[in-house]
Amino acid sequence: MSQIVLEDLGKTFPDGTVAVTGVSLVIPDGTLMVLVGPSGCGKTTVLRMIAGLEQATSGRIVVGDRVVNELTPRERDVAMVFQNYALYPHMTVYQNIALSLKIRHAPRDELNRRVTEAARILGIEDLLKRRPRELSGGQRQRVAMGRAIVRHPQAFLMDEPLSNLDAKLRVQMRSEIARIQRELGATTIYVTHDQTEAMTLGHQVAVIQKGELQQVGSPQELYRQPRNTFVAGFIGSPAMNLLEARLARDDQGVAVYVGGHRLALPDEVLADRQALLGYLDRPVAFGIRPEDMEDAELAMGAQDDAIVRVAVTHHEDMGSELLVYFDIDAPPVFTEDIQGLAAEQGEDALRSLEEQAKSQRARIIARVGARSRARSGHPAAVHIDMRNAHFFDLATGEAIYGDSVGVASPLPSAMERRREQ
Amino acid sequence: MEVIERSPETQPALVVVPPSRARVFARRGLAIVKEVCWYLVVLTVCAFILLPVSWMLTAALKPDLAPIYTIPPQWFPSHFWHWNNFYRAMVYPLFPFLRYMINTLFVVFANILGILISCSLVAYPFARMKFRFREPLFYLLIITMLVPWQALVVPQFFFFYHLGWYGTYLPLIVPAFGGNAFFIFLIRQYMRSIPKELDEAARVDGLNYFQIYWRIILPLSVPVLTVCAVFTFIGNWNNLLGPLLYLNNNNQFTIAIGLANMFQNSANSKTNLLMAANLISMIPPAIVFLVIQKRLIGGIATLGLKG
Repeated sequence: MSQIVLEDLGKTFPDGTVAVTGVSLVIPDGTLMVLVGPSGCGKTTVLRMIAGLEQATSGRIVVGDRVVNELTPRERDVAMVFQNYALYPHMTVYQNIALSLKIRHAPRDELNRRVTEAARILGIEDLLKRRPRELSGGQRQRVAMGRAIVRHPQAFLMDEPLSNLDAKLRVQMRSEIARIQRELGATTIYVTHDQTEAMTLGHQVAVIQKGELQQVGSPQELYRQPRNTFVAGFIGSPAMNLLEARLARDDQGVAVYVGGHRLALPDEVLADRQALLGYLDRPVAFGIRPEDMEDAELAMGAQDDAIVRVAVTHHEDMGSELLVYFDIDAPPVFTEDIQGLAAEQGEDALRSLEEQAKSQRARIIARVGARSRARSGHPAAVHIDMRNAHFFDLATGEAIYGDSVGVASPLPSAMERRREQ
Repeated sequence: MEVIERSPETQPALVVVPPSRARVFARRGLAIVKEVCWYLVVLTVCAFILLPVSWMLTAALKPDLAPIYTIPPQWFPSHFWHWNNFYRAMVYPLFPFLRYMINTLFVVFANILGILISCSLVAYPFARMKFRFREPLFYLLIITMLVPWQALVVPQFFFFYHLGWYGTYLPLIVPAFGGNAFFIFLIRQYMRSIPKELDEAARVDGLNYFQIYWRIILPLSVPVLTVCAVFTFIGNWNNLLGPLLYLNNNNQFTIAIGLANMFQNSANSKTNLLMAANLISMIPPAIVFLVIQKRLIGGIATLGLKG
């Protein structure tokens, strides 16, 4: 296994389409790096360039201690798992897994030993004589993995390996992949468009959009300190609420004005994010995650100056929690990035966002405790945990952190608190 | 506006009233009539095709001196049952039937081998690889199909003659190793329908282009290769002109030319034996068809879908 380094990687297709620009990434030995982004963002192209199926038009790819740009896939010694598995239909499972070794003229008994070993790791020993068409989706997926691990390559490349499975199987295979990766200590690059997959699987996650790297970090870093509105909106489910707000100082201190609401900003947040002071009396993008809101009745130590009184338009009881929808009379953030994210979710989401922008009323989702009595059509008081509020420059979409950019927030996030409970 | 009268068959399915017995019988009766008509049509067509064969069989079973070309023709064997005519045809001294069969099989299989190797080798890069001038070259190949073979017969003959190949099997076999535009086209179309990811997976697995062709693409192209093999088999089995032009020794003759020769001399020969030989020579293609029928239809069907 080896480290993989991408230096200023770029790809422009012959027809002039720019797929990837300036991607620099270090994937340390044994790390599972997830490349995540909306469809068509260039993440698969990055993977294919590493595999050697696509020629990089600029930059360098280093696998181990070799620059592999000019090498054929055969010489690069990386294994790839394809989205549709790409199993050879005319070969048995055994032959599928053994092919790469056979090509390299591995001695028969070693070949046999390694195939059996791979099959054992994946739990497909009893399928070796079958052909791909006789296997279920999950089994095919395992065979595809087997074909990769039997080679003991420098790195594994996985291109949306779970997207052809049904939801239940996907969750199961997800933990399976994590287990195998851990067992083998394999440097792995995993491409997906599913942020849940990225968060649950990745040691490191790289968010890519329009061929450019947006942010790289651990799942927690991306969740707590998204570097821009795109990452903020992309990571987390339900997505972060993003709306236009104004920062202002009054006699009680600095506060965020969202529509008709005034939300006091705790001093610790200000101390942590000096740069916010530069945005006083200017509109900013204010982001708050659904899980950082709580029914005021349930919130311990709720302060009046962080409560909004709203009319619940709609609620969804999830059993363990309650999703509460309400409108706030402030426009949603309506930048190109956010529109793109909405479009990714479907036409309805985009249309809804457009309506919200037109009517200057943002739809907010709050994730509150299951015991909340908030119900559709009734008023509710929602407490907003301002310590976990996010602020972004409206023009650039960049996060406003001040001095502490890149340092994980010392405050426990809602996610962690929930886990502790 | 025209009022459309609803026949019982086109009653909407929503009607809950169960159809009366009479109506059920009427419907069933109609179905039977349809079926019978259909069979009559098929049988007529079959008879049209099989009657000459039946006439051949009648002739083949006649004794040496019985008149063959009677008017009206005798379509079915009725009086004579000389089955040993078939054996006599195979061992007739002036007509080395078995020799012809072996020669023909040799030419046929050499051609199949040539076609399969050359056409798949050419089709593979056209279908799966990227290279400069791929499209123009392919169109050039397709255009060669437009040259009528009649135009090529004479120059080809001189060409092979000057190579010293006259009187050998080479002119009948070697061209197959040079490919055939139509088969290349057919195989390319089929290969294009094989998922691209298989090549990519194979490349990542460490296969080079030839190994991908040999281990992945070729085995997956068996349906279309079968089609090409069968077409080549039939085409060469029935080929009369080629052997007629290039072969000059009775021992080299293929079955088609052998039968033709025998027919020309039938004035002093035995038409009943000729017919028997004819019938025997029809057997191998028939067997090929029967054995590969399912595959062949499958292959042609997928070609139709994916081409």
